[in-house]
Amino acid sequence: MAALRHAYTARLDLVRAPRRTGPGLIGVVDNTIPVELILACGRVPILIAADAGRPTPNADRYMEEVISPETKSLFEHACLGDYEFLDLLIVSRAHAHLYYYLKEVYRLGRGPRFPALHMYDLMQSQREAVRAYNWGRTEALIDRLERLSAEEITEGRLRWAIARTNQQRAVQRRLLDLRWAGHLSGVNALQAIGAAYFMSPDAYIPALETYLAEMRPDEALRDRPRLLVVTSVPLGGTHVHAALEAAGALVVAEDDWWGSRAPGADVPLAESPKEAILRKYWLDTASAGVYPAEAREAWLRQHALRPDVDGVVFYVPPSDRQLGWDYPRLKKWLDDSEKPSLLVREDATDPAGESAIRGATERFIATLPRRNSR
Amino acid sequence: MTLTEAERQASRQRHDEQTQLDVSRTLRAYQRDWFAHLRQEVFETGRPYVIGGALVPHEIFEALDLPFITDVWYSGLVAARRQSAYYSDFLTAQGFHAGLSRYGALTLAVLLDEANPDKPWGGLPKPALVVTGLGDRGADVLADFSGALRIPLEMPVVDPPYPAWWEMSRWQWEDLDQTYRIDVMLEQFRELVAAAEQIAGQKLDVDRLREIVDRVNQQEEYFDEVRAIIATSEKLPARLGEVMSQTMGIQWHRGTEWALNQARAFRDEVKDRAEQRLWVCPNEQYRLMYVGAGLWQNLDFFTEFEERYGAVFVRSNYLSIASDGYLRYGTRDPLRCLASRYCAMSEQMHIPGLGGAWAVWEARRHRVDGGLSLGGWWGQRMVNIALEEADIPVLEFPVDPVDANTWDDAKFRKLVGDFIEQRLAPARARRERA
Repeated sequence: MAALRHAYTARLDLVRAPRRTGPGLIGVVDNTIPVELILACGRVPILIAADAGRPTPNADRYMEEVISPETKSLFEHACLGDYEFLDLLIVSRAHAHLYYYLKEVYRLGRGPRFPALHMYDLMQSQREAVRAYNWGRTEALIDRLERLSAEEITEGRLRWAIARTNQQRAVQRRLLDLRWAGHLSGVNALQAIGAAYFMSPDAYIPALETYLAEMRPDEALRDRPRLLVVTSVPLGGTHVHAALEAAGALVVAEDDWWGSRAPGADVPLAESPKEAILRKYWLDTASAGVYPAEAREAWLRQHALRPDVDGVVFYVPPSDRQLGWDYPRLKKWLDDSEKPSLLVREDATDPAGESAIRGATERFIATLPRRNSR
Repeated sequence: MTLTEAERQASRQRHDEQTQLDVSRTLRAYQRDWFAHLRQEVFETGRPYVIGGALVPHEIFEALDLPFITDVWYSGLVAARRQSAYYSDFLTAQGFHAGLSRYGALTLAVLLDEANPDKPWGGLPKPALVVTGLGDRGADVLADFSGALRIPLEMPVVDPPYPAWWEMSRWQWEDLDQTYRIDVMLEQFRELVAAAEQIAGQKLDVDRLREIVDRVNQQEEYFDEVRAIIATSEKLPARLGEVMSQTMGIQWHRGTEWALNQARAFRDEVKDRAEQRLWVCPNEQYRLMYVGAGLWQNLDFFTEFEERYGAVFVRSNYLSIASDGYLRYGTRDPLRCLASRYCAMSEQMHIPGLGGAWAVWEARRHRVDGGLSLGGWWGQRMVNIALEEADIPVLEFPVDPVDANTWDDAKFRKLVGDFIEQRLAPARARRERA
């Protein structure tokens, strides 16, 4: 676990070391960018992640309050030159605002240390009307990567990359099974899963396999009330889980790509690899942009009513602009299904907010039946 | 709190006294009759109608004889009636937290608040179709509540952004908006047409749609003329609150003969006032612009600054985007024209680089001394920075365009007064010296 935790906490520091050797690095902003294409062009994908709670003076100069703290943090890092070492930074549709601000500040000559940018505009609505557009954007990304590496991304290279990431997904799914069995805390699970975004598969897969092989069930977790977390913001840190677990709960799953939604299903190797990759990232990727709601909420509806989930926590910090519209409907669904739920509106990255969440969770889990009495 | 009937009458009387344009009165009368007719048809004959966002091709519904209501403009009516605080609180009480945008959602609130009969134009019947942007989850709630069909629209990312977009938008739109981006909008519009045809019970007649799009182009040309008159006249001939209301009221019905005639009458009246030198403020000293949304919840707020400082508002996005954003010539394929228009409609006012370049161009054209920028929209700071760097001071006004819960009269009077005295006057003197 030490290697995974180190990768999770060190993040870009792990790969930004001076005189680093090895393949070039390509930054991605979230989980909607096909890392298989990057691996197939001989580069390593690396996630650029927000630093919650750190000041963002450059971003505050250019961006207004409605821009998410995550976007501001990423912009700030770019202004400080923290992404300068990347061969390319691929920005997703969900981060279009970030792309626009970076492009303009660069145009004005005020971002000399920005990396080269590529916008991968994959529409997440599951409608035939956007298929051709998504296919075209994927082809454009392949073209950009081929120009960068001066090598063709062949079908053979894609199959190799898919096999590698499928292997990673399989190990992560084993970890998720152990979570459901109550063997590890939510904080540890987030770190073990999230480390994948900052390591190459060659380093990550054996590290996670070793962790799973050595894992012994944590007896202290056995009788804790089990919670599932629904979040309006990507859980790029462990703050929420730390607060919930400090209150005596165990987070067994979260509807978020930093945790339970990371692996999803395998990319099928039987079909055309490009088509399979497009379908995976278009139709089987956790993202707030998924439409319709039935598709966006399918995972939640499949897992929230499980008997081994004692309650659902909605984490909706003040920056929320979307989940709040769904919350009354989802709460009613849970109420009708007699599944207890808790809404927390505080920002877990703020110490006062973290304390308030812990207090609210203590009161909430006190209302739940004791686990060993069920 | 919502206003009492007596307070509302008094407010209406004040508003009438300040009304300068005859077309303001004809617009109001038409809107009221149109709405009464719609309610009657929907309730009594079950006629289906559509609720949608402002960034939706109304022309398709016009061609299919489907009545259409724009959520943000209806929200504007709620705000103008001083009911936005009540309905904002109502949404909060329903579990929709206060951080969620109320700009378009007051329409949802009016629908959800079934027990309260005190609503603009008697309230809204349930729609058959809801069409807005894909990220508009409030519209999902509205569709669920109404049992309406929901068609979302997704705009492709503008890549790369071209700052002087208004130079290309009228004729060179295939290049500006890029074929692959127009294609994805077109595919979505085909989906929308299929849904609308099903609801309307008739097929879309493309020739009729082309006539409507051409008529809209004519209407936007009248708006373009009004803008030019305002920009180039010695002083302001029509108060901006009336110009904004007129523009949006006509846009609501764009494509109809009434809208075209009303736009012509609007142009004629503004032109006539300019020719007769009938100025809003004969002692005009400072010319201001709205940057972003207008102050719909209190359109009369700035009138007092005319007397105190000779300050007038000459420019808003609403009139200017009518020509720079809506006009698309070359209508052989009218659906493709519309697809191009909505590739980046409104986004071009927000996207860093695009929004700022347009605002500076507009400010110079209108001989603007300063800007007022209402909070709450993305891209605002970059637009403000562009204006400030062009030596056009901007006041960031921390208020929601429609939510009266964010209003503080004394504070805002002082803010505007200080801005005029401390920022506008020195900047103007500096420019005059230069």
